[in-house]
Amino acid sequence: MHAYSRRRIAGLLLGVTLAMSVLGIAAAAYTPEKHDGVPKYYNSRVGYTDLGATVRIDSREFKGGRDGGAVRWRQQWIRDYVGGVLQVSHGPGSWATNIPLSAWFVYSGESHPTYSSTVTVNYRFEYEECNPGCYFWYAGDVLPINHVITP
Amino acid sequence: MTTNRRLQWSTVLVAGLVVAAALSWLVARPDPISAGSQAGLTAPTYLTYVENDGTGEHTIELLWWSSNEWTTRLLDSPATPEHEGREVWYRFGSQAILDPVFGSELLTNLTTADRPAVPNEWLVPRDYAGDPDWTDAGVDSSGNRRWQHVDDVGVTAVHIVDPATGVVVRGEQVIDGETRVLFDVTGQAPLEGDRATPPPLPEVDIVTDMGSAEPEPTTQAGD
Repeated sequence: MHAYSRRRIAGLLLGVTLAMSVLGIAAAAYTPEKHDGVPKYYNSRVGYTDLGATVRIDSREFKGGRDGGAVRWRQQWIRDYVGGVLQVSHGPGSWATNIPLSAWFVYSGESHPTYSSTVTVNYRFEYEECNPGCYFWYAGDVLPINHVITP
Repeated sequence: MTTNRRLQWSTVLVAGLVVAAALSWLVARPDPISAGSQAGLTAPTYLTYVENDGTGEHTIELLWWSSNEWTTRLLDSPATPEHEGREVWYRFGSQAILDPVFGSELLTNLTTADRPAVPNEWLVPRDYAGDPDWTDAGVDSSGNRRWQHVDDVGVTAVHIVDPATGVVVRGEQVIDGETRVLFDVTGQAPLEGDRATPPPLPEVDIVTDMGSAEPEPTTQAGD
């Protein structure tokens, strides 16, 4: 009985240790938000899980138009590159209007690949503003919007 | 009966007038995109400017032929040196991107195909005087007018406007008393020589049609 309890406690400790080590490695996180200096027009981030030797892309997210000034905007693409080689491409998305700052948007049909090397997730936006004059521009073409994730 | 018929005709007449007035208003209403691009830079224009996107300062060369024709080159980018030399060519709804990291690609059927478009918000004239969000902060020594706007997160934006063109020639941002220059084209020379004629888009192997769209994005709870 005494020996059984000792084995049981040892097994429990081993289980807890293993669980902690797994939880410690598989940490879910987000990349820092990227925007154009003032986060008014667009914003983006990537949700990922660091699995130790590899990293899994969980979500590619975006938001914008916090003051309601945007007539419309959308993500034109989200692309994963490893060593300069295109891995995954999504987009263009649907036009969005007046998206509140508190909400993040993700593509429902996006893929969640796992990479063993540093991955660069590249974003591009189209944005139309009409307050007071109307204009239209691309964000992420002259200066690429990159989220770099290393396992 | 006759009164009823008169009433019916009157109703039809009034309805017709309302429809005609609505149609007339719709037709006469200026296209907001075109209205916003009537003034501005005199094309062709050559600019080299520094843009600060939060990751650092980037020096960009802009060759601007019209609201639908331009080329940009990323000359100096300490935060992302691997992208230095990146070129973006835009011509009437098609765009070629030549990137040292991502390679080269031609995008066709862009949604701005039949519209004026700009690569940068600074290059479009705005009616600051008619915008209650902006405050007149006086005229500087060069004769340019300063307009100031305080964001709802406490960030002060200062746009310095050339009165001759209505275009922002310098943009500043003040956060916690520290001023950052986001954009500055004061003293830039106009385009000259063989740069006055826009060259065709470069030939690129990969062609992507941007005309289709994916399903609606889903919303997640805020962070």
